[in-house]
Amino acid sequence: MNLYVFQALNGLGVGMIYFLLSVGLSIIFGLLGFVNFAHGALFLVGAYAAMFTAEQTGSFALGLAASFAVVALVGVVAERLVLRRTYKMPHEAQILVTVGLTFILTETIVLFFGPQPRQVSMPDMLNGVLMLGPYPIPKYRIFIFVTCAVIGAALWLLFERTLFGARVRAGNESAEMLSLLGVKVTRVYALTFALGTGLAGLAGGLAAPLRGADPSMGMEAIVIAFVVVVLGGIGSFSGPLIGGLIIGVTQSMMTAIWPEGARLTIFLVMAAILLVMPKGLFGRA
Amino acid sequence: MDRRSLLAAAGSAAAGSLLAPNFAIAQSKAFNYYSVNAFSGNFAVSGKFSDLGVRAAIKGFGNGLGRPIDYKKLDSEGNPAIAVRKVQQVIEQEKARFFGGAALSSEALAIMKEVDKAKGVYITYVGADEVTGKDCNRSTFRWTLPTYGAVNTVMRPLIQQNPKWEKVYTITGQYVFGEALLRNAKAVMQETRLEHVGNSYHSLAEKEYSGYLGNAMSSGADVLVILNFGANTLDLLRQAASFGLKQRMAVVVVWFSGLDTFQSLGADVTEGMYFGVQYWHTLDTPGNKEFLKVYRGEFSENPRFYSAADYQIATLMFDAVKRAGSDEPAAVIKALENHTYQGLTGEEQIRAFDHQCVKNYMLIRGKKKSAMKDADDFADILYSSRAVSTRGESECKMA
Amino acid sequence: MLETLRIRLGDSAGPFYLALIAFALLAPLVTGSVSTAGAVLVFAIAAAACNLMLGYAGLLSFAQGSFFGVGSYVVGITLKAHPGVGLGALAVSVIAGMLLALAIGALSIRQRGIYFVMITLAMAQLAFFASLALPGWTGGENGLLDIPRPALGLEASLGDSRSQYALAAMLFIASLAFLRRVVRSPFGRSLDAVRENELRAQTAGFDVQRLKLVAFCISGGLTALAGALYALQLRSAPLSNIDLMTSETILVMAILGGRRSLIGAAFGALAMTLMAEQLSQLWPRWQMIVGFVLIATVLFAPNGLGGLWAQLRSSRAAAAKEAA
Repeated sequence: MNLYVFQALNGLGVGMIYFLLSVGLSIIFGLLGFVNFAHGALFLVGAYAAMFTAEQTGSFALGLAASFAVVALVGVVAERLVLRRTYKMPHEAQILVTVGLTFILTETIVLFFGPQPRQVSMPDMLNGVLMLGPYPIPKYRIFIFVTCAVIGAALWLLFERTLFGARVRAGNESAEMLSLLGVKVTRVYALTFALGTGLAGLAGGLAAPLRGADPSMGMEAIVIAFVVVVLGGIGSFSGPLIGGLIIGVTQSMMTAIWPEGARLTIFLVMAAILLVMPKGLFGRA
Repeated sequence: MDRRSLLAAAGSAAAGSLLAPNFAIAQSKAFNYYSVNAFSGNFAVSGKFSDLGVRAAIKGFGNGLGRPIDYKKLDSEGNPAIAVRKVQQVIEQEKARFFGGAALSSEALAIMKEVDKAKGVYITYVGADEVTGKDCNRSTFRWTLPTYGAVNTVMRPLIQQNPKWEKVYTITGQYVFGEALLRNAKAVMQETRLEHVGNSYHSLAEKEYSGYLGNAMSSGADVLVILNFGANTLDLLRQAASFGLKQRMAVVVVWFSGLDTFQSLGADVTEGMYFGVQYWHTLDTPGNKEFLKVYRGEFSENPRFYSAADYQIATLMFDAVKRAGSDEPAAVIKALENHTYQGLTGEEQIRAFDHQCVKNYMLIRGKKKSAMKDADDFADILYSSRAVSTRGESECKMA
Repeated sequence: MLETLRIRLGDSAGPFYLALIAFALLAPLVTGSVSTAGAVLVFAIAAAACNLMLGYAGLLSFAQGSFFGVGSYVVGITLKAHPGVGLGALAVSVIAGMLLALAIGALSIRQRGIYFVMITLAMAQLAFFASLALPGWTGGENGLLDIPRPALGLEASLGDSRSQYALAAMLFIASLAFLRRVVRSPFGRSLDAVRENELRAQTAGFDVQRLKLVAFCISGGLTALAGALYALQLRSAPLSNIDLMTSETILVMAILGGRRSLIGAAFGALAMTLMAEQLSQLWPRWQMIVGFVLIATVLFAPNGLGGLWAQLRSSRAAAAKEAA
């Protein structure tokens, strides 16, 4: 096994986090046409929720559960109070509102936890490495890959095999049709919002032991999320998955091939794909 | 409100601002000290601790100036443009002349030009060597030891102590500061005849270091030398620990903030690694003892680098004003040049030709969690030195 | 004569220009200093240029920061190499901005909606990383320093900082007046048509891509001018001028002001700058308050500050009519 394969494997772990972070944004944008610039801040809140809960209860699993639940709650409350009113408004109004929300969420976190970056510990059994030839793969990265794959499968089942999923997909095509069929559209929206935001929070909770929890996480996450969503194609489910993996693997491999440009390559890849496929890999018209 | 009343309001506002200055002059003869730092935004950590340091300095200095010290904070938000703008504003509005701090090198470099134009005094502690190098000017002083001293203090004793080390791998931030560290590191490796088996550059915005660590591990090096700063260092070290790098090679971090970054990483990560720091709270010097008395008395905790640095530079400023016996910046500058004093790291001296402070830099080693005597006892000091390059090697040409 | 003037400039031109002049004169009083007011004018130009894209061409561009940053760098590089060029360096910056917009536009203008946003974001990141990678030109993370201010001939009478402000004021008035002419011209009308229904505009015979590209170039050139002006005020061009935060700030100011309102852009710049200035002195977590203000604006003043201003003016006009 050589260095590039090792990098690629590392990239898969990172890519799965990108997937989890972005799939919520894709669904929300696809269904509601809503540009959620606060998505990165949700990632941030999830990380801190996980850290706080794990510290208080001693349970990493509870921390992860909290990262989903707390952020889903924040998402639902924000949707009901503020965001719902902006669905009919042009995109830039939505951007302004969600930028405002980002400020509020980020500063609230700093108010409670301070601006210092924090270490988030992982459970002992996930600590350590698995040797693949001469290369150590951290067990935690394998855990992330497996967890995200399971969640991804569950999401696929949800969207392809359940009534709720059918409604979401229908709403993606035409919200009007959905309400004409007698479905309570606001309910579907609210649940989708809760799911989408909760997933971003969970991504934050999973990422926290990997990169620590600090206030600048939000900005970094929002950029990646948008890149992955656009590259994968808005509204799709497989888009963020493939997109996330492509970005993760490319980034990791570039650190061996062209280290200085590794970060930049993310954007080059997205731009290149958009030039060839203007709606992204799996985007709908 | 119609146009007429708008004009009237404007007129009275203008009249009001004309009257105000007279009032201000009669009011206060307090000494105005302006501390520039990031109190909000991505670098708010810096500002939070900086504030504690200045307050400790004011407390510690007491009534030494015979009048109150008025400490004003300028929030740069981590943005050099905003820092410069606010500095320009107070220079013009409030005749500000005495400045300290900065969260980032870019802020300090831009501010020092403005302060020099206004013929003020500015003391800073950022990492960019250019502050007392090619961008040096009469108004600006720098407390932190330059990259030459950092690299030499950290690498030489370790190399000497570890004769079995033959190969070195470096991970360097691809920016001006990283290059400066690398330049010095290469010089040391050449002199000590170590084989520099490879270097990986990473960008300023990098977050994912698995590739670079993979490169390091496959290089067969005995020691990994890390040449970057800030968030880059934290992310890299965290991931290095998760890859079990420490078990395969020694890890040396040339430029490290200190207590705050130890707290961000935790002893499990930092155990066994070597770090270079500008300040460590267990320093046994008269200067540090005095500082700790004030700081611990005020805040009941151990000080971090920013607090120590802001304390030191503010104290230097107040002390220089006192010794100069005047508020004239030129006199204060004269008082600072060639000044030798008991600083936090021992006896320190400010060089006249480039306004660079010659102080100690420390090599410390991360301790095992079980060996820590208290929550902040992350490391032991192994070695310290005041290595600086000579005047002949300096790029500073002060008018 | 007044009649011909009115016909040429359009009916509401008078009040518009008066508003611009009043804004430029009052800004130092409202903000408390000429330095802060100078920054407000700089960002007012950038936000207004952003409005051309957002409110008229219907394109949300995340690349505004790159034009701003490039303008700063180019004016700095030009003046440091050839100080004799003086104010001509500003023209060089404008051209640089337009060329960059042409380059970015050529690649991205075919995209629509969120895809356009993301391509411009990618280009903006490219510009950022390029600036980091060329420290010989840009100073890298340290920034470009020691930019000499061109002599304006006013320094003796007004002092250094006030004459810099005078320059900013003149450029502010000229830029917004120019933008107003652009949006009210046949070109501006065609942009409106494209924005409202691109397909219909295309079938009506408009060269949609070319129209958008021209708008992008004008916007890029003016944003670069703003960046150049800022660099002159700061006497330096920091890396922060070209980062994503700058793009975001300009966008927020433009949207806050109301996407079609040029005078709104000025108010947006003023509001954001004032909030940052005043609130940061009171509470380190001041950005939280800004967040609430932004949300409140969208919910209660959906046409932004410019919309509020227009409402104020029309209610005054109605009151005046009633009184008459």
